[in-house]
Amino acid sequence: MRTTDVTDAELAARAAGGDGDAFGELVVRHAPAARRAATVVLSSDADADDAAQDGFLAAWRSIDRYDGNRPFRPWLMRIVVNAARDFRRRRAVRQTDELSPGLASGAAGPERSAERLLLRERLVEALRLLPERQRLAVTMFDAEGFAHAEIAEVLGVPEGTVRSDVFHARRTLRGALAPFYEEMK
Amino acid sequence: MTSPFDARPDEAIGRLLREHLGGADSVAFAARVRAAIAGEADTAWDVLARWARPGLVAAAAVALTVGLWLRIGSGGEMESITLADAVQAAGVPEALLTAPSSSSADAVLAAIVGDQ
Repeated sequence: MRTTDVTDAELAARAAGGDGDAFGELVVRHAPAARRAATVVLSSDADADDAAQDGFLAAWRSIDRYDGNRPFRPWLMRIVVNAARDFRRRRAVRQTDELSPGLASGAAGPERSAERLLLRERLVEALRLLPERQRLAVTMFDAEGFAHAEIAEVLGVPEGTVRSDVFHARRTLRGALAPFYEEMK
Repeated sequence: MTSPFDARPDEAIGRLLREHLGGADSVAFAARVRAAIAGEADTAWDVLARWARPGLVAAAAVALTVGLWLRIGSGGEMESITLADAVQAAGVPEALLTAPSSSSADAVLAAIVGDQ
């Protein structure tokens, strides 16, 4: 059976039995979303990767406490978001330093068009305007496809709060990215 | 334009966030996490190993001490105390000890009454 055919819950059960390869498959599956979540909490890709790794290690240590009857992604993302917040507290990063223009700078090669670079800068600036919870809510909803209820579970807030956060975040992002938005669609 | 109230994901914003947030090399990141997990497992075994050696030494020392104590406390005294010493220590009247083996109930009764 290919690993892509195995559900997260099955992999988690195998990981709880000490199967490191099964947990490795979970890491591969969820690393992009985990890194994005850590990135919207922290100031740099490097810090976000450190925090995401902390989150995966914490998940590995507590994998036997995961309830296989519930979705795996919200359980993992909650751990990763908490790890990123802990990381930020340890580093004492100031709020104004978050989401620096160097965010996701690994892709800023000379082959990138000026318009694309400008778009990224606008995105970073727009995200900086948002409170952390709104950034997480809109990223998890629009980029990762989480349901409102799942985001509420991750962030520990009511579902209505998540809907409100997504609404306000989108309005800010659409306003800031208006010159690009129609092209992006 | 999609309504901000829309309950469906906004594809344009979602694509933008996916493209610009997070690091680029997912395979390298996953390898890094797996290496950290493997390293953590080694560390746990190292901790167990560090505890195992003094633990075994301590257990052996305790076992040796208890064994010596039992040997001294039981074996030595048992050899030096005779049956007569033990009976005398228990306060058994001398008449019972010196009476012939076919001693009658009178001897036992006399010993008890005399003791009181």
